[in-house]
Amino acid sequence: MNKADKTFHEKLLDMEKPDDKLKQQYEKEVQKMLQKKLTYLGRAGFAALAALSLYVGLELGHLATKSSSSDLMILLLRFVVGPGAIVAFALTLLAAWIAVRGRLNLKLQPQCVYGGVIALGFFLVTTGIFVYVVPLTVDRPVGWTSIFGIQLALIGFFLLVTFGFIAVFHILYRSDFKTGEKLLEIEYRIAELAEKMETKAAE
Amino acid sequence: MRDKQTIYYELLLMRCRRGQKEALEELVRAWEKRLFYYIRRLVADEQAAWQILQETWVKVLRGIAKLQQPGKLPAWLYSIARNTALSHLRTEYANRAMLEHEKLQGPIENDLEHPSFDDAEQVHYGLGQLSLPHREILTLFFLQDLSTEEIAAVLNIPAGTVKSRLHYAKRALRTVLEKEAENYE
Repeated sequence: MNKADKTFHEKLLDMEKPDDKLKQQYEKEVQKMLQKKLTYLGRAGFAALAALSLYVGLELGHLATKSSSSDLMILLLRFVVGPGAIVAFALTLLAAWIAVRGRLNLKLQPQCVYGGVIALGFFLVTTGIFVYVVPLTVDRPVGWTSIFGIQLALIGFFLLVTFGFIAVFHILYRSDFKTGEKLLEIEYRIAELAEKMETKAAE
Repeated sequence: MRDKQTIYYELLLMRCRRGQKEALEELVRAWEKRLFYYIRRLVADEQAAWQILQETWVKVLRGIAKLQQPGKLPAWLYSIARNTALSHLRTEYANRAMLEHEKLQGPIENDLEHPSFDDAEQVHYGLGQLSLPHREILTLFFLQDLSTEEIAAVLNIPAGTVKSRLHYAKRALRTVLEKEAENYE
């Protein structure tokens, strides 16, 4: 922009000549601003989460590769534990990365960690139903175990449905947010175009 | 059709709430120069001004999800910057200075015409010679981001007081600039 084209307030802002060193220091701090420094306890917590999700990932991975039967239940199990293992390993990497760095990106990482933990919970519940509850109810429906199994299966399905609802609502919320953003972008472009046309007409 | 600036603020806010780092950086880029200019008029020490600006961004980051009306973004940013600067300057001292200043003013004259301050360099110099309340209100006025009502909201005073304070501030600035011109001649 030419100096002559500048508005008064832009010229006024240009009058402020900040010290370069101080400004650089500020810019560094602003970059760091998005990251929270973790305490030793916080780092230990993330390290524990990494270890736990690694263990869960290994267990789920083991379950996914162990069975080789063509039984429908085992296929379903693999369908669940496979992605579960992937989520667990991803969470391991993220938690370990946060623990090693000792800094938490305030805007994105907490969301990813919460999302990962919820997803892992979903896979664990589903795996629990397939590995323990269903065999207990279907394969050995004797005495109290079958009643207990049915109860567990009901609880498990209730949890699954809850997880399903949460996931659906989350997806709807995200898509609504994205649609809103797209609409605003379009509205902004239209306003920009209208402004240009007005300027042209005035000329 | 809605104002382009309002749409832009709404879009920026939405992206910031989604946690887009680019949006936050854009927000900082778009406002840091103005906020720094404003803070710099409130505090004499440049290093303190940078620190206040940094603290302002931390507060903005924490509170951005709660800001419901995107149109209020400029006033909200200036309010945070002001509050941070005032707590830095010790609120009590600043408030006392403001109150004492208000008492010293005489009745307002009818002429509220804007004097023509068209030399940015002179105005920048003149602002530095004024009292804190005059300097603050004129800075907000010259930066042109806020309406009278918004300035009132930022400064926590009625809109009528904004008008009268602006009037006296402009008069004071004109006096400073005239004196300076006389000295120069």
